[in-house]
Amino acid sequence: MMKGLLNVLHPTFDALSAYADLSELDGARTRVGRHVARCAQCREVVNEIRGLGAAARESEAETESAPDGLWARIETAAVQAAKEAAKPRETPPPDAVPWEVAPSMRPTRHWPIPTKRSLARIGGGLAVAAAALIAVVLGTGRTPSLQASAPSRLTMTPFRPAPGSKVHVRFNPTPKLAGYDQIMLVGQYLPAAKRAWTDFYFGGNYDSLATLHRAADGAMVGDFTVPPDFKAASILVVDPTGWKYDADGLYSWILVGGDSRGRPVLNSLLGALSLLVPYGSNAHASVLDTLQRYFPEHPAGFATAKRYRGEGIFADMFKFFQGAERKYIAFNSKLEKQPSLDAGRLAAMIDFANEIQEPGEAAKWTRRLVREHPGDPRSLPYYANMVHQIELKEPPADSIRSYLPLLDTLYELAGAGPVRSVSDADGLVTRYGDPAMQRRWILRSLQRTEGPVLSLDFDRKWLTDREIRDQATLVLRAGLAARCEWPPRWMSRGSALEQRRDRYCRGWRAGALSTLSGIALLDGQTSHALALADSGVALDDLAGRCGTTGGRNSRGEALLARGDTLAAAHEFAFAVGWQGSWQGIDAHKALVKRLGTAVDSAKWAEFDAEAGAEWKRCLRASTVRDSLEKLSR
Amino acid sequence: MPRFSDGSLAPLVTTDTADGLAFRSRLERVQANDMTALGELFAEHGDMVYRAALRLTGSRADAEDVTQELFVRLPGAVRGFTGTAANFPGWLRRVAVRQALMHLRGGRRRREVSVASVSALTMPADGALERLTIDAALARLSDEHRTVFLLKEVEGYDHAEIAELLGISTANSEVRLHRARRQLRDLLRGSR
Repeated sequence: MMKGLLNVLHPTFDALSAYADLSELDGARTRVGRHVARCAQCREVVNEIRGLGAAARESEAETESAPDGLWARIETAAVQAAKEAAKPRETPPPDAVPWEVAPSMRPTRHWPIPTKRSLARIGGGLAVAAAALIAVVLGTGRTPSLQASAPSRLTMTPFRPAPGSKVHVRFNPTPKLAGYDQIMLVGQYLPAAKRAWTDFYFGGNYDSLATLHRAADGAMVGDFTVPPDFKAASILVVDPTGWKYDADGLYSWILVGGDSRGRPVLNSLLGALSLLVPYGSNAHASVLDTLQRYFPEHPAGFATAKRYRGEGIFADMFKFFQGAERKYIAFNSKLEKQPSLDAGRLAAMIDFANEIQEPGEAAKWTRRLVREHPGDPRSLPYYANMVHQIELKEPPADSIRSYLPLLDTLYELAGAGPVRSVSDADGLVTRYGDPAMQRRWILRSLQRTEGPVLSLDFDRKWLTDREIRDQATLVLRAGLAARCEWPPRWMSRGSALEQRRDRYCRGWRAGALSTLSGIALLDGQTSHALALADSGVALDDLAGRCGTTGGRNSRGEALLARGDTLAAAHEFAFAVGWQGSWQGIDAHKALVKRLGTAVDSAKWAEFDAEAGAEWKRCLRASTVRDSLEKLSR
Repeated sequence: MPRFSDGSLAPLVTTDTADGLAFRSRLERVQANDMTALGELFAEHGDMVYRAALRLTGSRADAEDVTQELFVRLPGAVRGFTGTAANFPGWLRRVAVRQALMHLRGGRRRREVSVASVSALTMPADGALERLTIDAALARLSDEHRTVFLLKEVEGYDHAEIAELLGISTANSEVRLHRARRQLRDLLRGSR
């Protein structure tokens, strides 16, 4: 009777979750606490909830350390920042040459947005503000004078090259690159080539654009020709080993194309803004500045300008009168009336509305983008983001489901090309889509892959579906056949950095082999599965990775399918690895239960000891290896 | 009451130890943009900052960005630190959390495969051992839910502090935590 009553009156998960946060004493006084004291089922849930937190805290100690090259990057950036802070702002003399060839160091006039601090300053300096305001009101009506900094050490002529034109490069090397007789100019053009999973930061798909040689005056010079469809490029200068680089502050230099007369081209600027320019960088500021000055009627130049810092009390004060919201309202009232707008303007208004944290306004422009340009590749990601914003308000699931059919339509209308940035849409389909829709989107994700793919971004249960399995096999095989893009193509062979990255490539490949082994097992090809798993384990060993589970598990599964339970148990014990963790203990219990009496406790103890010893040996070896690599740099 | 060896009473006023003075001196050198001192701080605390950022952002590249931004700004930021050497790691960790949250909010996230999803994807294929680790399960949560879970469970903030950090209400923070826990539990149980 009591048990029946308890079942009816079980607290909700949320109530148990709230109870789990209370101390024993506080919790015992609550209604939920009294229930938990009598109900084993709810006690287990509470223990699991508490276990999640404990596991997360415990697991942090196992996560990796900061990468080796990070301090070098930080040091470079910190030195640069210290220099910038110490340097007085200067205006170059009128005859300074060549002034116009430094994109990110061009005179800038940042569109201002007020900050809370600036508002506080306003309160403190009202009297001075009034005087300054009068000065402005009585002024000549001229635009504010442009602030300027020194010419860049990297100059390109022409400053805005037309498609297919030749660019002359001149670089005054910083001390760290001054010792070389020749250095490399590397870059990536927009539209970027297919970007691999290995693409990251300054590595990845940067190609050599030009070799710079030392000129008589000590500068490094060289030429290169931009492609016929040139819009923009991301540029770096690197030493011949690829280890040292010079950039525009923390980010790359950006070269944006112009027309035949060197005037800015809207599409090139928008392209640079959308794909190449890191948010908040010098280049970002420069592109926005150009957009604002040359295309003031386009909202893109203002949509993401909020991040600018104020330059001082007066600047901040005046910025108050040109707030982002005011600017948005101005654009809104102008563009809202127009019966149709191009997709670029609509996308910029969505960005703008998001920037001023007005999701309702963003939804308004998103609906218009979807209605007027359903085939534009931007419609799907913006629409999915709009639905995700609605999802965050936690409405009933059915109301979210009503938005899903349009995701399908937008995907199909976007055309055969790859649809970028569909992660929001993928997430919505995974959370709310019916099985048929989920299956459709998984197949799409496999078909729209760009660059080598060595891992699958969906639940493995879908591999039981024949079509998905076949498609996944094709994709993974292509990924394994493709060249690993690390290290970057311009990097010299044999460097310590290369060795480190090569290990990482092997790790990814081992993961792909492990997945293929699982697929082979589903196809009933036990021997093939075992061979693939063996290769995965061998690659993991070569990579010197400790405690990886994929290959060992796959080998265990294949051995089990072949009927060799003892050998399978041996592999599984290695896969479980360290048992000191919450997951390790739990997984080990599951193993013992799964394999039953086929493996006695003495054998388990033997396998576990062997796995533990192997784990420690691997960790020792990797520590020695990492130390040696650091020394060899 | 502590006494010196000659029997006189030791002063109650605490003074900086040699370690404390050395720590202060190092912070002053950091403020003066001494890269050696900054490098020493990175060597001691860089991993902790990186890990905190990695857990919150779920991406190596973002974690590197956050760590870089934090240490580049540290010479200016340490001026606001008035505690002792023992308090410094906690202070730095809180700064790292704030920096990571700013990074998440700022929309500057890199388009890359996240660390946690990588580990999730290289998990074994089938059978009883096909299990998600807590990291892999966390990687599958939305940013909103993962952030609240980590702030509460790992960083030890209470709901009022989380609400302030994220600009949400306390009730919303609680709801997000419950949902994160429920999703994590479902994910981990589903993988068994």
